[in-house]
Amino acid sequence: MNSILPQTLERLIEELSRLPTIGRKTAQRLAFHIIRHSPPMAENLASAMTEAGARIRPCQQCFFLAEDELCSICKDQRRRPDIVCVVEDPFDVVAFEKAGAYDGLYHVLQGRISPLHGVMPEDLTISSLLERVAKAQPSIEEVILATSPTVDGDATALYLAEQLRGFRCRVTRIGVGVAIGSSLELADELTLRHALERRQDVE
Amino acid sequence: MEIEKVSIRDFRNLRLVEQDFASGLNVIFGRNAQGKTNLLEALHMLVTGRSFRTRNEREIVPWNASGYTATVVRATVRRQGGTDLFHLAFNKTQKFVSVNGEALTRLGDLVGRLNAVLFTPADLQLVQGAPQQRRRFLDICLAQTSRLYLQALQRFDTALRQRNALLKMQHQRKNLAGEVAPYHEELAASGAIIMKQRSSALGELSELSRLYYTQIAGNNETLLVQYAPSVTCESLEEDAIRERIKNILERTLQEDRMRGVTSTGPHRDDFVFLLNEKDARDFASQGQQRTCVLALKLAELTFLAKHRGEPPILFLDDLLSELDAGRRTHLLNCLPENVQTFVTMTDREVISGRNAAAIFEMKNGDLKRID
Repeated sequence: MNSILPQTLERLIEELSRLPTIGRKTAQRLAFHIIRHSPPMAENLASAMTEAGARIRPCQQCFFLAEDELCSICKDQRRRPDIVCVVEDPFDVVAFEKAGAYDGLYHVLQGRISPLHGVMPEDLTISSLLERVAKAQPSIEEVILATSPTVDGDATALYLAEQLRGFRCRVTRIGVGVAIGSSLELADELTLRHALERRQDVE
Repeated sequence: MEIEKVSIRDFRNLRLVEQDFASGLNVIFGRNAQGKTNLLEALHMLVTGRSFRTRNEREIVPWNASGYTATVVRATVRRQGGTDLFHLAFNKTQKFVSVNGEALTRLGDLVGRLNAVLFTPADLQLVQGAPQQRRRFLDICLAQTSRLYLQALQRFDTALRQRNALLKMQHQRKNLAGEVAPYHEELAASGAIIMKQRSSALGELSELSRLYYTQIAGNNETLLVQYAPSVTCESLEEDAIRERIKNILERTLQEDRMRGVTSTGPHRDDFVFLLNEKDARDFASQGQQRTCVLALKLAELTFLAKHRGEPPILFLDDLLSELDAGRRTHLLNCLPENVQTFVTMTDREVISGRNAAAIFEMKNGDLKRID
């Protein structure tokens, strides 16, 4: 199809439409918006993207997003180094940080095991985690498995638990249960069962 | 429960159908290939979110018709204690479902909102047919009464596909037993929920089927519907079943490695019809087998009514012409009065002897009330 738009604009639209959740129409709107405010907006956007693309890399220790060797969380001396929370994606770290209730370190797996999609243990950062647990100074006392409570997330957690069995550290799994603030009526049956099975004494 | 009103747009040959329906018996007649089954298919999609005729929904979508944007099914359903507004829209690539204006993020959330029993000529093969057909019957029936069952079924299915994917790449995997173990846990946990519910539901369905069979056949033959699980377990306790499934999966791992598929488990379950204690598949006549299915379908209706607290909707697609006069009359007589029923047929005479609440004619995709 021959476009009546200038070729450079056409290219911009095409690149934008490669982004997730962006279709051709949205890409077109974004592109028009970008060039209308040109040149500052286009330039700022371009340099932001180039820089982020060039400088963001996984943290050497926990695989969260970083600009240097270590991410801001791993660098933070105030955080407890003896506890590590294992999550699937960087977004999960952001979610935990927003909650603000955790002061330990993280380990980002960069996905979850799924043979169906060709994602095997070696495709994740599992060996780095095991190495980290083996060598850490001061030693890691607890590993919290915080993968999602889906079939794949649960399977990944179970696999990790087995791999971590040889180490001295405590291995825990995040709680699964009724969402705070929602009514029991709205909770699904499987969640309620879990909540019941793992009930706790009131102190 | 009752479908009061429906609006269907661009569903196979139905360009626009807007219709109110009656309580009780709704008869839809018309010649072949006019769109009668399409109407039932569209209505039944509100039960599971999927078509009962095809897995490939692109068949349903008249995507190359001029001005087409989306296929839409809207329905107003009256149930005990309220009215629900269903909205299902889809095209070649997307699907959107909402109930009372609230979007459902997962299709599974739709199941159980609208309860129905579907009876088509293909169901008459239930005795003779493949085990898969009987499992599907059980799954659709149970998913409508138990959300836990549906959740377990979905988790089981995911874990099973992961296990099978691992089995297929076994040559590259050094630690297959270790990698497959997490899925054994899941298969055992979900599988135990599934097996326990199948077992108890079949117990109830068997008892109900026995009564209906006697009523229809009018003789002293005894029908028993019996669970034939792939994994047998002495105990009915969920924990015991779970351990048993886990053991079997571990034991069959070697064998399954060669085949590349999981050979044992609830995904291979079945049930049998026993007529006077003999397997109806081998010993019953064609007519007796049909009566077995009829009895089981009526049992399903009663089962759903009991567990949901109100009668489901009944869809009978082109079924009456497949049954002889005797069975037809029995079926119609066994239907509880308070069940809204949709019947399609090519011949209006067939229905005589029972008062239809409303009669419609389907002609070339157009539905018109004629009585």
